[in-house]
Amino acid sequence: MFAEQAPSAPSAETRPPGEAGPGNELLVVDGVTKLFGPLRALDEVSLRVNSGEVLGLVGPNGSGKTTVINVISGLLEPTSGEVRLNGQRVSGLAPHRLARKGINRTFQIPKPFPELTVSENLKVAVHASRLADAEILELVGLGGGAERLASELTASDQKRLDLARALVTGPRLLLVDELGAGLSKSELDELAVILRRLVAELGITLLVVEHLLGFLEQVTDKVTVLNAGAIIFSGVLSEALADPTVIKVFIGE
Amino acid sequence: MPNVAAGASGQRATSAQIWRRRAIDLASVLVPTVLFALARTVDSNLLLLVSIMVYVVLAQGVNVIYGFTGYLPFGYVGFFGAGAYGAYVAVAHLGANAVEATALGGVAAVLVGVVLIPLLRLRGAYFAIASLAAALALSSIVSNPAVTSVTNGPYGADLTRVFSSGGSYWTAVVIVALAMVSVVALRRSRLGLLLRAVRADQVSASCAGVNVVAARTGAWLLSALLAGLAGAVYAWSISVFYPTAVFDTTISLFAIVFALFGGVGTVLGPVVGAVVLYYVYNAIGVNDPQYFQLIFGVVIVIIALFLPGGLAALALGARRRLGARRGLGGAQPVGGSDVR
Amino acid sequence: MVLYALISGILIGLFYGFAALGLSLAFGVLRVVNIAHGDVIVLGSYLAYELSTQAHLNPLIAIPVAIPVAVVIGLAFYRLIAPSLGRSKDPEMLSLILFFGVSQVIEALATIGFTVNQDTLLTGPVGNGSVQILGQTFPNYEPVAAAVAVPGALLVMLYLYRSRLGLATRALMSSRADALLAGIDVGRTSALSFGIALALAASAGVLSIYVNGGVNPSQGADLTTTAFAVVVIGGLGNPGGALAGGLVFGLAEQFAQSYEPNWAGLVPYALLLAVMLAKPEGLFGRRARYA
Repeated sequence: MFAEQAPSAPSAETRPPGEAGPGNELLVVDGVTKLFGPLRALDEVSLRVNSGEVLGLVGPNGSGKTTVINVISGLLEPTSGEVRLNGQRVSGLAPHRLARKGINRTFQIPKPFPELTVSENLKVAVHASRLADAEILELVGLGGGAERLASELTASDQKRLDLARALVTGPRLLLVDELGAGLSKSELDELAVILRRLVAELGITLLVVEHLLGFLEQVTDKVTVLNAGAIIFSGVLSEALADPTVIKVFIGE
Repeated sequence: MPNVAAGASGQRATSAQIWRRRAIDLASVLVPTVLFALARTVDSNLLLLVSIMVYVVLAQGVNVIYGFTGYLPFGYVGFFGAGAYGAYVAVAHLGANAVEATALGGVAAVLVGVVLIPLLRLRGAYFAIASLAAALALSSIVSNPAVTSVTNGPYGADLTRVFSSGGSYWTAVVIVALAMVSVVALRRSRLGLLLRAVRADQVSASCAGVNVVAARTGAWLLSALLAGLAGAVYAWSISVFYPTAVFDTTISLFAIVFALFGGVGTVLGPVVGAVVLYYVYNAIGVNDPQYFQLIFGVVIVIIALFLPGGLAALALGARRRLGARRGLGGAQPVGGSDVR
Repeated sequence: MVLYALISGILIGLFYGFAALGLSLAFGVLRVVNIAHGDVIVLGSYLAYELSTQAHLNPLIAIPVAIPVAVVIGLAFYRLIAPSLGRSKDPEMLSLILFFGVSQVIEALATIGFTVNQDTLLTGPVGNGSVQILGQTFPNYEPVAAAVAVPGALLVMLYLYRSRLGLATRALMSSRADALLAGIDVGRTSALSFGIALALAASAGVLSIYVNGGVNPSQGADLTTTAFAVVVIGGLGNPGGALAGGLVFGLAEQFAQSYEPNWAGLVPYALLLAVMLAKPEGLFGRRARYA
């Protein structure tokens, strides 16, 4: 009852990676609007992410990037519109249900359970990955630290633990929220390698919210730009940086 | 849960550690149970012994719900009263024998717990007060003259037909064992781990796939069951009682303070807290309840301000200091250690 | 009977609102759940009782006597507990347990000082006699309680909405961090709010000895529950909400007593649970309180 079995749907890891293509949409965000009282945080946002693909979501502060992730991961319910995973409507489901359906996330400010050890943190998660916990720790660069308390980890290691905990649930879609914030250049490079391995070796699809474009560049060239809750650009990163609307938004009038 | 076993952390506990842990768990259950079973040879006041055991069980029930989830149940007595009246109804209307009635008292409390599941949506003071209101409402319903045909309303319940001081005593010993097993199992089980995670960060736990509501509900119903069994066996041992006696909010108060005093979240803390404080109560509280209440109030204030972990924290602190002196280091983590 | 229940419900409801104001203020400003609120009300009742029986004064004089005493005690006590609250990871839960202990101490001391027996003030201008309102007869104390409660609540509102300290208090209610950044002396403002909260409780106690038919040391828990119900119905941290909550509570209670006396005792609890579960932000408030 408390530790339900892994979802019966096949996890991404059981299918070959890189099956991307127009007819292979894993995630569809369809006309999602989110109101906070009078504030229109998201306005008819529509996104498509193909299986095995990495999509970057960028935009200035307050543009609604994290709200998009919160809606997809079930922390917020959209005011209107819906989210579909593999064609199946998932918006309105609680986060723990979504975790079992193959959607998981990391947090901009990582939220491990401070009084639990690293390995206990992973044991809390519903295990659906084909990797053992130890392998996952190795993958994110926390190998050997399994018995440390989460509260004793550095900020960078807490992010790795947050990522590891999400990986335990065997996500098909991983939402990565500002992973790069506050990290050094070498830490960023390491994390970019890890994210690329998730895609290449585990076939996980990523939606990466990031404001560090240099970091994002290392993971994907496909971006969607959000401003004031609405999508203003979708396409290749280098084109986005040349797009007058995007430039105006980022640099100001 | 095959994945749990497979979810090795890379550094598995050695088999010696596992056996040591099992031995501690077994001792935690057996020592209090055996001591209570032998207590009658030392103290012939069986009603007193049953009362202490009842409070040990109640303190463990508070431990389960407060220690593991952070929900402070001011209205915990509602389950106790439900258990007492469940036993009465079973005997008076269903023709049950005393042991069956005790079990049905536990069932009655669980049913009340099921009805009150929506309260778990509230938190902090809201939950505490709402649970108190629910207990007072239940008391007001049970004692209403309109339900005299079922509960005998305000006129009291009579179980003298099944009275047996020995029977209720031994049943109480069994319930103490059950309470100890529950807490030990909760500490060791996956549910216990999940509850700790939920307590630390509900959003993270939910994202990790934990069904937060189900986990909390499990602890809530377990704690209801313990209080219901305690209420039923208490009813059996005193055999004649009024609604005001088994819905007395002082019972919640005692259970909470005993648990806090001994240390919530630990296995033996609430037992020690209940035994020590109930003996103090028995020595001075029966004749001069106000002085006992004064001591009680001061104890609570001291715990709140200076000793949030209760006696168990003191003991653990002493053990750590000892360990440090022996050069073992005080590195034992509070959350993951066997706090007792 | 409708008219009687209506008028009585309004008069007593205003008293309930006033009795809950301090609890609302303490929670709104300090995030402190004063479980001992009802016990402070009891102390106010005993002060009125002593002034009346020992000093032969009008018991209402207890109000101006109680206010400065309560403010001073509140200031000092808040300074005493503030460090612990500041250190705690969960100050709300800590305050709950702490004041639970304080409430036991007050009740025990009240029992030692005044015995467990019910003390009543049935003589004098407030306790004795009745008054006609719209052809219905009410005991004197009902309009007196309302006549004290309404200006009392207005004073609190004037303080909150028309004074500088009140502005600081409201800033603190909406965000402690922002209040700190705005240069508000959070410690002093909090301590003063706590003092005012206690003064309100003690003043309500002077009326409570009439409205509740007397005073005894174990009344505190019931009074706290009632005050909490009123605050929850009205929405926390909002004095207007507390008065409105009091009116709802008073009317529900009086109508229940008139029409279903057997089940009237259930009304406060049922009302509290219904509002908490169905409209957790209170009937007149906007604060969420879900887990």
